[in-house]
Amino acid sequence: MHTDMKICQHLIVLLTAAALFTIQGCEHPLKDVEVEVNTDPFAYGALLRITDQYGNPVSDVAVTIGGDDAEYIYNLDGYKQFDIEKGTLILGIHPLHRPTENKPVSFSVRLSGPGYVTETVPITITAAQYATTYSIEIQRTGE
Amino acid sequence: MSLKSRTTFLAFALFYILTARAQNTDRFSENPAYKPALGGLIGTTGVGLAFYHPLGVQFGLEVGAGFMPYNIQIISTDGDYPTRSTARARLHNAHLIFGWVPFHGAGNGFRHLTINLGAGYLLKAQGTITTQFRDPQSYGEIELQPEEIGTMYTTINWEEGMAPYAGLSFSDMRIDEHFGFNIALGGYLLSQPSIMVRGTGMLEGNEINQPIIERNIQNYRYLPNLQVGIAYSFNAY
Repeated sequence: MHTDMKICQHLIVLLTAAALFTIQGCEHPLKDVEVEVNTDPFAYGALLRITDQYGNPVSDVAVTIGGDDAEYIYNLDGYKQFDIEKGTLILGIHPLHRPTENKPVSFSVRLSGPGYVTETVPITITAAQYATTYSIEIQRTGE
Repeated sequence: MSLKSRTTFLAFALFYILTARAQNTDRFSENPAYKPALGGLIGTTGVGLAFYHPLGVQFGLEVGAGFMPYNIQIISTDGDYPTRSTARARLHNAHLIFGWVPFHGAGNGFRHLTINLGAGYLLKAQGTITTQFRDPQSYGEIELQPEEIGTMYTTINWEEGMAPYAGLSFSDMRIDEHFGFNIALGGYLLSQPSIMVRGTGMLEGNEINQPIIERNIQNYRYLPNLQVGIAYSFNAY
């Protein structure tokens, strides 16, 4: 039995080495895989085109987001700084607060500034509306 | 040498020869690698139970079943991001393996050497790799935890059915009169696996990695089996 057990010890080492060699021969299943991530976290958003009563793009007004879901609204860089560029304002909804069939996302956009009549627009985004475009007309005063 | 001494010497010599012949006869009349026994197994193909039975002095049979419940954590960098993957292997089998004991009459440990041929029936043969980012990701003021970003699921399936087996083993190395130790190395030949990749959340679209993974696992057709076991013999040896 002593001889058997001694052989056995050698065998365990030899066979383990052989098995490891065999297993090492397999490629890692995820070798060369590049996990793709969507760098835009906003699956849902709203695009607002803001013009005056003459159809000219308006950018020099302040934007204030209000309403029930205001805390989940960001610009496309993920910040709560809302700037209008050439009359266009793009808003994104926090990726963990997407609208569902039973609970749409509701907020309001208030546009105000010297020389304009303050305008507040309610916006509701449903589960089926990934990207919604709104046209908002803001009145210039004194004209 | 006196007559008494010669008689004593001859008696011892005769006793030695008879004893040696008797041992030799035992070696050739008893299967050194198979006894009727029931044993537990553990190895790269999982854990299981097997029943052993000799077929004459140089052949034997093993009938058993095993299941593989392994989960392995893998941390790697796949693309630009460190990822954490969990590999789950579920490969359950029932097997029937014949053994040939070519050196059954040898006086050393090689009398336990067995050449094994047989087949396993794969009841379930699936591997799943779940991959998530290792670290949270920030998008401006928004921080997302790995589980909130999404998961990439890679499922590898082998067809249910017969898988041929070939290997070597050292069987029934006696521990005591009832227990024997086995060690085996072999492999099952599996069917060509199929792959499915699915991404959720922000990892949607990772289906494009499917051809790369298919290429990586095209040789995953050999399931190595390094296995040790202890068997209880129903009779004392």
